[in-house]
Amino acid sequence: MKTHWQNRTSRLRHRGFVMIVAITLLGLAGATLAVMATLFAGEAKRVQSASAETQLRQLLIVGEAAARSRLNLGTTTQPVKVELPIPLAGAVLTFAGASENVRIEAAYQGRHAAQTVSYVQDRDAWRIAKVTLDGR
Amino acid sequence: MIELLLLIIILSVFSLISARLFTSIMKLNHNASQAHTRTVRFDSAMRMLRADAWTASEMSAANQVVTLKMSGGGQVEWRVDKDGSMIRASRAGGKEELLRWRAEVPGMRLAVEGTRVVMRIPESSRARGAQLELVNQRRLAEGMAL
Repeated sequence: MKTHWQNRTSRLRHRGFVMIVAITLLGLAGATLAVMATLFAGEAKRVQSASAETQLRQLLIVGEAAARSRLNLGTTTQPVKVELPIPLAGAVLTFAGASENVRIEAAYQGRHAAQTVSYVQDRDAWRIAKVTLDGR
Repeated sequence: MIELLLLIIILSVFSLISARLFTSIMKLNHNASQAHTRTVRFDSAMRMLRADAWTASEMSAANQVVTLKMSGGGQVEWRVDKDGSMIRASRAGGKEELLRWRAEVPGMRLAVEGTRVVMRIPESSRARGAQLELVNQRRLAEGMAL
């Protein structure tokens, strides 16, 4: 027959086991939540960055067209700023240089992209001979 | 006696549930990190392919291989393996380089259509179906007569 103290010790031992398992599971669940939160934050950042980069590519295309349309006017030593529509109020698009080396730069939402385009004259039109993208 | 039986039942149920929970949590952590790694690899390969397509002077495709002649000289070939790996083989100035990204997205297909390189990703358990279009600056400019 068990005494009162033996029963109490046995109950406490059981409680201790359950408590340790529960705390371990809580810890694991917490760690999983932290991992998931990091993953979601990373994904949100990635989407924002992809969207800004898409906009930058669009700006570089516009910049190339703007630069090409001014090639007949000669070299532009000072960067020429391209007027952008109101929804792109925070963006900056500039180009500078001569036909053999026109530098086009775009900035949007704290990100930056640039390319250097070389042109050759083909009858009345200017044709792209070489494109170099920054970061390659 | 009944108390002891009940206690054993409760403990068994608790152990079963906690074991399941433990397995699920571990699986979730593993899958999340794997998915993240795959995404990073795919993004890295796409960044490279996008830049190659952007600056290429000539583009062609045959047998699932996209060949890009670079305006600075040299040639780059892109292809996708059956296991979903993206492979870039470049040749410039007598130097050859082979890069491989294990993106693990099966069934990706590459093509050249007009002004762009098109990557088609079929719907699968790993990826949502998508079509990515990577434009070429030169061909795009030729299409925009000013």
